Amino acid sequence: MRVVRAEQHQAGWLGRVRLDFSAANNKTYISHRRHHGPLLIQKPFYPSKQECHVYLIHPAGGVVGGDQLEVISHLDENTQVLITTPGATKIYQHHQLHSKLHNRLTIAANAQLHWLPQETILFNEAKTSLTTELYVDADASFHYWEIICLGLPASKEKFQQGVLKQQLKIFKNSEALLIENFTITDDSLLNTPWGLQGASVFATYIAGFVPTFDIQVFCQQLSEEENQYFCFTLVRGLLIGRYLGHSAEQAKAVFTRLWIQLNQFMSDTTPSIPRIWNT
Amino acid sequence: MPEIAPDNVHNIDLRRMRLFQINSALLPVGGFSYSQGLETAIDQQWVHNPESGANWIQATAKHSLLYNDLALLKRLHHAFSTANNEAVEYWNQLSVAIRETRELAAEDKDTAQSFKRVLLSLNSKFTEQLQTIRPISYVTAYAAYGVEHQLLINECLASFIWSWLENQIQVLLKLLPMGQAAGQQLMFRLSEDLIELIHDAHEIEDDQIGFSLPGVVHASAKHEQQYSRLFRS
Repeated sequence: MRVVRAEQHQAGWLGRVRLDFSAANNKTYISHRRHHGPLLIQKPFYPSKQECHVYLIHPAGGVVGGDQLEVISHLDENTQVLITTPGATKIYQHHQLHSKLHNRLTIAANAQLHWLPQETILFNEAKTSLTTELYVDADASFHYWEIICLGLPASKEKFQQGVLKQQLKIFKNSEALLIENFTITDDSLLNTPWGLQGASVFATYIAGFVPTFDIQVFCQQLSEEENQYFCFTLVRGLLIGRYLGHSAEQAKAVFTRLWIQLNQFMSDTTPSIPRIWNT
Repeated sequence: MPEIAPDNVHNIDLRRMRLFQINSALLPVGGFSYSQGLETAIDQQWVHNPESGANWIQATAKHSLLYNDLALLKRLHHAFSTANNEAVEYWNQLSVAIRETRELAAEDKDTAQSFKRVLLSLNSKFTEQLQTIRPISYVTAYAAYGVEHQLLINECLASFIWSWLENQIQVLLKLLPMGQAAGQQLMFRLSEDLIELIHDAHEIEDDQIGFSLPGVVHASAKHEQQYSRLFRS
């Protein structure tokens, strides 16, 4: 692993990674990469000939107010990429400054992106904005999830105040397909039935483009408890699963099952589980 | 005070009539068939009496309606007023893209189609545009009607809020042990509370459009598989 010289600007860390993928002879390789500051990747893994697994690493150990992390990635035609993180992204409290995490991902025709980072933990009094933009060709496919933990699991330190600005934008052939914002600025949405319903973990899984999928069959495989916490819909070719519960592990487990089944359904392949998830 | 010319009196009265017509129970858009997740909220007993119903309606108006339909209505009204086709297309597309579940998307699509048919049958001057925009969103058709009949943006906003509120209250009336009088009281009280949204709608920034309430979205997605149901969303 090559650690790029970390640069700290006045307000916080500025980390940026630019990653482009291309395909040759049915194999995906990194055609362009550039790092700036504390955000980098390891050498890709190839669990099978086609799949390219990349681990995004943030060696600073956590994000504090003023930090800005940006991932820009482009997938050329016919590439197949899975991007994940070795562990949870931790966002620490700051009395004043906001941190910003921004992902901008473009996927060309016949390319496949699996954007499956591990959970993001917001500590009490953290202030952050999390934005992901996906620009997807109509003939491309993607699987995306985002798992947010409010406070540390199994600890008494709950997220009681802080700021979260979460934004997801999905474009299909440059037309807006799904735009979603969610903002926490006070406690009014933490426990109310229209808000987070007291959930300490909330997550979204989205796959595209899925013309049809029998969600009921998938729901029948879930336990009664799981069925309480999860819901699913299919809208505008997007299969969307959502979780309001208390366990990032539970969210990941069910979404991973859905991910595997959708891959089998959409492309008749069984995706390899990233090795790092098992450690 | 200057005297109002008879022409203008006629014009003002006609505008008023047009405003009433957009809220007419006879307008065949089928608004009364949708609950936007409220039926599930009642099924789950998050909403169980007029008071908890009022809280649900207020919160969804303040967090969702305001940042979505009202903010878009303001932009689409301006876009039609200034004959800016590109802007009409842009905001219409965004309005389609913010519907998070199959049922919310279907509701928007179906009510918009019905409203569009009404506008075409009235020989709308926006006929050509209404036919080119696909799929058309409900607020887009609403804004077209408002601009064509010289309704001011705040009149459109007030009327949109009012009919949305009426729809939500009829859900409570059908699903809770609650009388007509209680419904009218709630309507009377909530109209007063929600009036501030007319002014707030002018303050929303472009980037804030698309606010998604997790509990409402869950309710809507769960509704798709709810065993027994009266409403289509």
